[in-house]
Amino acid sequence: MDRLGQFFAIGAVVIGSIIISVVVSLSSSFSDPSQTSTSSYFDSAVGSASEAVEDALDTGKSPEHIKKRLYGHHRFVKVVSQRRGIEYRAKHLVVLPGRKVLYLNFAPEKSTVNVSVSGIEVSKTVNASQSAILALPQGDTYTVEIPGEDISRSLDATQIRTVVFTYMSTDSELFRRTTVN
Amino acid sequence: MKAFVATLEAVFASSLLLLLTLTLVPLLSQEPSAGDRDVLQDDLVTLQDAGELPENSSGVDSAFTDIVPEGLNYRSSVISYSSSSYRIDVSGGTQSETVRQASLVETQLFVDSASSLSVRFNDSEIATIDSPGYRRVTLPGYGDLTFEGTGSLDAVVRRYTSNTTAGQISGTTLFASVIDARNGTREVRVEAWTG
Repeated sequence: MDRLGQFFAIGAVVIGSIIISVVVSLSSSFSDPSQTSTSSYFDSAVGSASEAVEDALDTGKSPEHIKKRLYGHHRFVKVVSQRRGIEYRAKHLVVLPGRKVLYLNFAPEKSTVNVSVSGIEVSKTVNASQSAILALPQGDTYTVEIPGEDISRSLDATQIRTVVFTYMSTDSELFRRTTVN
Repeated sequence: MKAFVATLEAVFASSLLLLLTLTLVPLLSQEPSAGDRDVLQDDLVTLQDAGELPENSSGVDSAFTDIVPEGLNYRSSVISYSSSSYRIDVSGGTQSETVRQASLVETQLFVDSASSLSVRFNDSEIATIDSPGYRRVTLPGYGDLTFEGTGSLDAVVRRYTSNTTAGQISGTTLFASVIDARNGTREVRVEAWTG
């Protein structure tokens, strides 16, 4: 009987230790403040892409001017992301006056963009980190497709519009979003 | 046998006590929480939406004096870049530009046309360009950027700068940041930690 009591005591101690360990480890995983706020950072990067277009338009409307501004913007976001261990890439399409579309493929792989207007499709494959300017037929609505990212959007072609695909990834998280402005 | 079981009991009891001490003591100390981070992030976004993000880190510090949760130390940093643009048109000759020093300098090349165009930095070749398009080349500090051969392009030299207020970070750190693309692109960041 004495021995049985001792076994019960040891069993209680072991089980208690396991329960406490589990509770403590679970509670600390729920409140890890050192976790990087990649989600907020991603949201901010997504919003800033269209701001960069507005900023470029304040000082000039030529495709070359806007292209350089966007390269500067995306390169900056990439530099800051790299310092935080985040991979960044973006695909940025801007509908410009004069039936032109600027497509910037700020990603390490080729990307194809299709723009349909009035039943005519204009397609262009752009190499990694390169850009292209598409000349389009007359029409009020553009349908933009980026097949590699499963993106398809219709845009009012009578004003300056942007479609931005943003991608970020870390060791444990992945974010991707397409925004139209 | 009885002594052995008693020793085993003592070892388990000591282990349990040690485990409790090691796990509960850090939990009892004040740590920055995810809620604290959300407060800082929301305030940064509010300032950005209002177009009132300060230009430099000391301005950010001033704006956050009354916002940072009690018991937390904090510091801010603003990362931005400045640019210089050069039009390069060479035909069998050379054109040289001097680049200022900064923590990270790179040039973005927007090439209209090029044929065996050599890009040199302080007399060392860092790239050869044979086709139009976009190229980016990292520059190793201060010196002369020279284009030699035949080509037509715009070279935009960018210097990334970081403005950080003093603050010795210790222990668990949280941070909030926003990317602002009005008047150029920059990142404004606030880091907070317990003292």
